[in-house]
Amino acid sequence: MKKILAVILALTMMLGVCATASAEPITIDFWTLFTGADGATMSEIVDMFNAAQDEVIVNHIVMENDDVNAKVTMSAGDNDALPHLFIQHSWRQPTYRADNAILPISMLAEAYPDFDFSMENWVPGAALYNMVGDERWCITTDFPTVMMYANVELVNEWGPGVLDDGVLTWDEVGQIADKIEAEGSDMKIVGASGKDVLMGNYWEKGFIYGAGDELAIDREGLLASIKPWETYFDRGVLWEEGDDVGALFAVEEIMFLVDGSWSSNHIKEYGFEYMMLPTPMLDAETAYVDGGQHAMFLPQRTYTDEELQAVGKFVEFFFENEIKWAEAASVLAYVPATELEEYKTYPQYALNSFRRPISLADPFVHNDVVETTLGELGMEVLYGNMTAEEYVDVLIKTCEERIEAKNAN
Amino acid sequence: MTLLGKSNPKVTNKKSTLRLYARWVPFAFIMPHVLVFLIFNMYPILSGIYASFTSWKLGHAPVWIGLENYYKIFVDQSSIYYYQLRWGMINTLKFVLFTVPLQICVPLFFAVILNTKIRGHKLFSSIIYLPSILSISVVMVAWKNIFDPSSGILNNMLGLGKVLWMSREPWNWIALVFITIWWCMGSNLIIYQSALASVPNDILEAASVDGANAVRRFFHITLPSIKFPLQYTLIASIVSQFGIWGQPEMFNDGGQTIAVVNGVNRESNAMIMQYIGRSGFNAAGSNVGIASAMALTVGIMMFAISIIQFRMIRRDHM
Repeated sequence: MKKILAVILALTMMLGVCATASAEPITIDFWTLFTGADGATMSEIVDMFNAAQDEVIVNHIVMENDDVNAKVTMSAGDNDALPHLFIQHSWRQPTYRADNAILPISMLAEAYPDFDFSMENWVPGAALYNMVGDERWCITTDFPTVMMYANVELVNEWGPGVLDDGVLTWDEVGQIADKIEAEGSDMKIVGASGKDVLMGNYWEKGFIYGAGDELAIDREGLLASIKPWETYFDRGVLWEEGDDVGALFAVEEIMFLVDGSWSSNHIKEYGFEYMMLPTPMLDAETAYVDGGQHAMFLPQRTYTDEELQAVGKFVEFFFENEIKWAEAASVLAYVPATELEEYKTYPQYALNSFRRPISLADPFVHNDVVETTLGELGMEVLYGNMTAEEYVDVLIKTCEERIEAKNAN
Repeated sequence: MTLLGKSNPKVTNKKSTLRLYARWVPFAFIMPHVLVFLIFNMYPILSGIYASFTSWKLGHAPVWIGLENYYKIFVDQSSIYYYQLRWGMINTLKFVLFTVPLQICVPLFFAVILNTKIRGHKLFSSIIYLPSILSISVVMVAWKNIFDPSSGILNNMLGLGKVLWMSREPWNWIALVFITIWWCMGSNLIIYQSALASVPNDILEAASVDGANAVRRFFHITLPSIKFPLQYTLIASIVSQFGIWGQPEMFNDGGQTIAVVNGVNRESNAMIMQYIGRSGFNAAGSNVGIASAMALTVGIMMFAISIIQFRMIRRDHM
C-alpha cells in the first residue's frame, strides 16, 4: 500500500513539474525602428498581445533604423545577437537576401497554418518587395511612409476643386501659383520637410532602379519628375531654403506639406482640417503612392518549433488588430483591416486607392545604394547647387561606383 | 671573495641574479604600455595598411587587389574617390589655415589679459575652459540650433534676416571656424597661462625701466620666453585640426554642392575624414579598402608635416 501511494505521489509530482514546465511562456524578441510616436503605438499593440494570452511574451525593442540594419546584417546566424522578428523597410529585402540575412516567410506559414499569409490578403503594391517569384520574403505592415498633407481650408480658398480627385497635379500647382501671384500674396503652396522625403516622389514613375544586379535608373523619367519641383521652386511658390516648413504648415502659411506618416500626430494638434494625399504628380491618371514600406522580416537564425509558432501567433494578432496601427497614421497594408468601417474614418484611408499593382520576379538588389545616395544629394537641385541633369549624373555615377564596390566582395 | 681568496659561489650567483634583474626589470615596467601600444596602436595601423590593398566590404572577408585602390585615388579620373581625396584635402587644408592661427592667437590674447590678474580672472579662466570638456555632439547640437536659419537665436535675436549659416559660403565656414575656436581654445589657454606665469618679472621690469612699452615688452621678451609652448601648441593644433570630422558632419553634413566635375559633386566643406568615413562605413556599401588607402595617405602627409615641424623646433633650440 505504501509503495502504491509513493508511486502515485511521484507521478503526481512529475505531472506537476511537466505542467509547470509547459506553462512557461516563450519570450520572443521583436525589433522595430519606430523611434517616434509610432513606436508608442507599436508598444501598445505588443502590450495588448501580451495581456491577451499567457503563452508568449513579446519583448519590443526600439532602435535606430541604421542600427537594426547593421545588426541583422552583421549578426546573421548568431541567435544570441538577433531577434525573432524585426521590422525594416521592405526595399532592403533584396539586399538582405543577397547577404543571406533573412529567411523566407514560408517557414512561418508552415509552422503557423492558422494564419493565411497569402499575398491576396495584402494591398496591391505590397507585393513589390514581399514577393520574389513565388516566394514571400517579408510581410508589409504599412505603406507608404511618406505622403503629402493638405490644409483643406487653404487649398479650397486658393485652388477650389483641386482636392476633388485626391491628387494634386503640377498643372494644378501652376493654377494655384497664378492666383497667388495675381493677388500678390506671400502664401506658399508645397513644402518638403526633409531632404529624404523627396525620395518618395522619385518612386512616382516606377523607378524601381533595375532588376537583380543591374542599375537601370530611368534618367528621363527622373528628370521629368524633378523639373516641376525646380520650376515652381524658382518661381517662388514653394518653400525657401532655410525655411522650417513644418512650422509654416502649422501657422497656415503653406498649403501642402510633404512629410512622413510619423508627423501625423503633430499635425492633428494644429487644429485645422487636413487631408492626406500622394505627393504632387505629373498626371492624375497614373498617380500612385509608393516609397517606403515597413515590413516584418525573419532574421537568419535557427528557430525551435515553439518559437516559430510564437512568432506566427504574434504576427496573426498584429494583423487582425491592425486597425490599432492606424492610430500612428500608418497607411494599412492588410486588406481585411483596410475594409473596416472604422478605418474609413482615418485621413490616411484616402491613400488606399493609389496602389500600384506590381510584384517583381527579380527585384533590384542595390536599392539601399540608390536610396542612400538620393538622401545624400537631397535638395541640392532645388536650391540651385546643381542642375537636374548634373543631379542625375551624380546619382548614377555614385551608385555605379558603390555597387561596383559591393560586388567586389 | 672568501678569506682564503676564493670566490663565494653564493655571492657570485647573487650578483648575477642582481645583474639580470637590473637588466630586465625596466622592461617589465614598460611592458604593459608597450603591449597596449602594440594592441591598440600598431595592430590597427598595420591592419589599416593591409586593408588599403584590399577590397573590403564590412561583414565580408577582404579580397587582395594590390594597388588598385591607390590607382583609383591618385590616377583614375573617372573614379569619385580621385576627386574626394583632392577636394577633401583642400577643404581640410583650408580649415587648418583658417582655424590654427586663431586657435593660437585667441587663447594667447585671453591668457595675456588674464595674466594681469584682473578681477575675477580665475572665474573667466574657468568659463573659457568650460567648452573644452563638452563632447562634440553636445557642442554641435547646441550650435546647430543657434545657427538654424529660421528658428536660430543668432538670426532672430540679432535681426540678421535669414542668413543661411549651414548651406551657403562663406557663412558655413565662418560658423565652423567659430564653433571650433570656441570649443578648443580652453586647452591652449591653460598652457599659455602657465607659460606666461613663468616669464621672469624682473626682466620685464628692467625693460620697463629702460623705456620699453607694453607692446615691445610682449613681442621682444614675453613671446620669445614662451616660444616652446607656442611651438608645441602649433604642432598639436595642426595635427588635431587635420583630423576634423565631427563639426562639419553634424553641422551640415559637408555642406552644399559648389561644383560638379565628371559626375562627381564637390561639397563646400566636406573634409577628408568625412569622405574616409563615408567610404568605409556607408550603409549603402562600405569600401574599407578605399577608406584605408585615403587614411594612409593622410597619415603619411601628417607624419611628414610633423617631422618638418619638429626639426624646425630642434633647430631653434640648438
